[in-house]
Amino acid sequence: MKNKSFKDILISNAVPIIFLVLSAAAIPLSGFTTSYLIQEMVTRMGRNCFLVLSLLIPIAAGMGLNFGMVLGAMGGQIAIILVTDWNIVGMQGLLLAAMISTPISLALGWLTGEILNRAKGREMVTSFMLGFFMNGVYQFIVLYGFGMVIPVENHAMLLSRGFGIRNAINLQGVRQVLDKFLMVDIGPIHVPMAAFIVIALFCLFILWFNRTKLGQDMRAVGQDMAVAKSAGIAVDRTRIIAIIISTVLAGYGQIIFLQNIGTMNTYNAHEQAGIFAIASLLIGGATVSRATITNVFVGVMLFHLMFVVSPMAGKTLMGQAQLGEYFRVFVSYGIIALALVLHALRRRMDKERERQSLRGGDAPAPANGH
Amino acid sequence: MKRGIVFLALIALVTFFAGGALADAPFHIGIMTGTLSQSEDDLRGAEKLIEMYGDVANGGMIKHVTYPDNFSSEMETVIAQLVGLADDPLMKAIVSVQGVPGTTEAYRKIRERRPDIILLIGMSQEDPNLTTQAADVVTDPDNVARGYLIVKAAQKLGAKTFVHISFPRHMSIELLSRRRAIMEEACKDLGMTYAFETAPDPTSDVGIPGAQQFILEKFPAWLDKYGKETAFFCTNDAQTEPLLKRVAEMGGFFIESDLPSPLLGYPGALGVDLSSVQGDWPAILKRVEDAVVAKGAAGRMGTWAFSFAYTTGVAMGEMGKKLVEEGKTPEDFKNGNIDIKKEVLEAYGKFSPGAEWNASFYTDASTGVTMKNYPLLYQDTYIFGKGYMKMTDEVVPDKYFTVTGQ
Amino acid sequence: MKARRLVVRAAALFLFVALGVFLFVNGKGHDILLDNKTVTMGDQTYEAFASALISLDGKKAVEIQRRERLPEMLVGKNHVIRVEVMNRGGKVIQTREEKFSLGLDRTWLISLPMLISGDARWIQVFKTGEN
Repeated sequence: MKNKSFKDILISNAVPIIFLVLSAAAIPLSGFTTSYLIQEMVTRMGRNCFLVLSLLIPIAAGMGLNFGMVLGAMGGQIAIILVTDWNIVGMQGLLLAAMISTPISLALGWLTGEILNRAKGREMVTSFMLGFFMNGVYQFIVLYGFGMVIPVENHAMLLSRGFGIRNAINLQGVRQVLDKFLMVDIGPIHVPMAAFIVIALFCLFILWFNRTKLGQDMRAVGQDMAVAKSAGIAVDRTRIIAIIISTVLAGYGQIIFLQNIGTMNTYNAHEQAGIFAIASLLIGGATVSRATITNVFVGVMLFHLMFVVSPMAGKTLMGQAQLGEYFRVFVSYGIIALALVLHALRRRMDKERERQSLRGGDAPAPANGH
Repeated sequence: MKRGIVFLALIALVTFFAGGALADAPFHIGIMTGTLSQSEDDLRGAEKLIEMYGDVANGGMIKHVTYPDNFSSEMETVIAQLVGLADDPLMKAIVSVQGVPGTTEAYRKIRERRPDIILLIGMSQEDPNLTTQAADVVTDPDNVARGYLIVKAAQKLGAKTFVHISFPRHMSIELLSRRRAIMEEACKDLGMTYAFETAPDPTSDVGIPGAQQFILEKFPAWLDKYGKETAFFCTNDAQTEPLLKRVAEMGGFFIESDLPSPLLGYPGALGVDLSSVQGDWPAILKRVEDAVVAKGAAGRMGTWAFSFAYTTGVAMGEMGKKLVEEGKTPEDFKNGNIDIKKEVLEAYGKFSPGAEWNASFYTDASTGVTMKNYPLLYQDTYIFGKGYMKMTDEVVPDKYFTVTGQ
Repeated sequence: MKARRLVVRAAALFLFVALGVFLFVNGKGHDILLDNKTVTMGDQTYEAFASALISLDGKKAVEIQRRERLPEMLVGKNHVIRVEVMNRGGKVIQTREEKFSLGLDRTWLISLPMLISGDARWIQVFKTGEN
């Protein structure tokens, strides 16, 4: 492991490198100014990092990428719908939304944890499917519950039939409350300091958490459940806690995301939250079993850089505005698929290498996973 | 950790070398429309603007971007596309044709960074209370006035009965159900018989073909039931085509469709080939008219001579250009230095020669607040084989503006 | 030991709820409709005035003309309104300042002519669709 060859480094960082190369080619084509791009990156880091960070703890606990984070996002959205309906504005509204989302996310996280404990080893696909299942429940609640069971005072939010929330809600009251709370101008760039402080606190929390007893336990569970169990760690409980923490934080993350966007897509916002967060993390060079805070920041930056420049770059390349849009869809989603493929490939390589080292052989890693 | 820092440095480096392109036009106008697959007419409007004033990429004035086809789930992209337009220091006006969800938020962001850019929306899909605060001017078709005017036009043509064809999903949309109620009320006042007919929803299990088939098969029965002096109106675009086909063949009246355009339904219903006159509205109208007259339906079928979506795209761009050239800024809108109704009518009229327009300001039904930057427009109805109906000269009685959908 | 834990938890829960209620009351946004139209209340008629400057909670004043209705937004419970009535020449002829507190209803209608004349019913809950 110590003297990795150049090729190894290249392969294990293939995704970020491909991204960087593509972005480097696309940026001049897009014709955006430097200050615009930096501003966009700063804004997008502020709004997305928290969501992506919420994925880290379950990875440490060996549970893979928590696709179940969309459940937390749903909790955050329900809280934001309520707060918007009650018209609680400003920081109060944002804090209240976070408070309301907490018990919802707690319950959803506990549910996810319980289910994942019954599907050990297949956490990712299970949580992915759980997301779909809960999406149905969420739609039922929002489309029928609101206005029927949960009273809604603001009729502008309801469909004209009298129940069900409209598909897009303007979050006038809590819009950019956190961002504007402490806006620092560095040159022409507006930096939403408060959002970054919250993110920094989150990072510190993760670092601190890793040193606590619970954090150590989680890593032990992540390494080997059987060993952890024999060492007297309550494996199932530890795993549930990891998922609960992730889900609750994802709920806060979604609230931060939505306050920045300012409008909410009632029925789709959470779906994107999960996919984009996971894609960002993978693009940042993380794997299913190992992810660091650095991966988060690099990933969010690269992913969104591509997102911003590709439509314009596509337009320049093909000369037509609508082709630029198709180009963006093609590149962005194509790269997510590529990230997932490369990720699987790398996992196989890691396994191969592990097997080699178990055999005690010093043979170099195979060039391609066979 | 080190790896991360290297990456960040590289990104910064790459970003640094990317400069904005300089162009020759004194200022730029940005326009966002749907793609061809989503909404053709708006796109054609933007292309007309490019044809007139050139693309920014070639030193012209117009910068055209599109919103995603599934715009409702990619709001972040809608916002990024619009805000990206404002990155150009020469950008002076931005137009969104079809203000899809996210437009309002994008406009708020643009206004914060670039208060000098004039922001316009044609056909908004968001809450008027918010769009009118974010944008300088918002326009939409005046479906309230049209509820009365369509019935009035039918009466002028000699119709005795008015049949409104729709289905429950559409009738649960506020504006559509309100227009239906207005039509019923207008029939009562104008001494006509009003009738409602239900057709299957094309988004249900029967699909578009089933819904169209239903109209084709049911129409003769309707005509028997109500007589030939009956005007038909249909809320669904897909069902308009078979309806037009039957009206042309068998009789009855068709005043105009839900969002009128000579392209809506007519080419398919009457088998008109328009490929050689793309974007040339008078020529399109002529060809459709010839086809209608050939079917013996002259004086019974109508439309708007110029597509609303197309005219909106090109007119809003033109209005933006004119105001920028006059040195106007968003401040002038705030201070009431611009006669919005006049400017809008002038711009719309410029690209629809011969067709009259009328505009009135939107009044919020629940608070009674009038929004003076939200003109609602309608065009004079054009009846094939007969000409314009002078509907813009008609006065819509006040009472219709307070008729609700209930 | 168990009892103590229970007490701590109950206290935490109570604090959580209390904070929520505090945020709810304190952060509630209200839509205020400032109305300068002639109103008749029973046998009394309050004439609208040519124009006035309205300042809410000491913020920058907005000008309102005869027959106009302007929307404003207020956050929280207790507020102050200051009305400066102007004549046609734009000279302030009358000033009045009133304190008011808002309940949990969303939209409130303030009738400026009534406020100036000292009719206590100058602020009322506004039900949408009433006008």
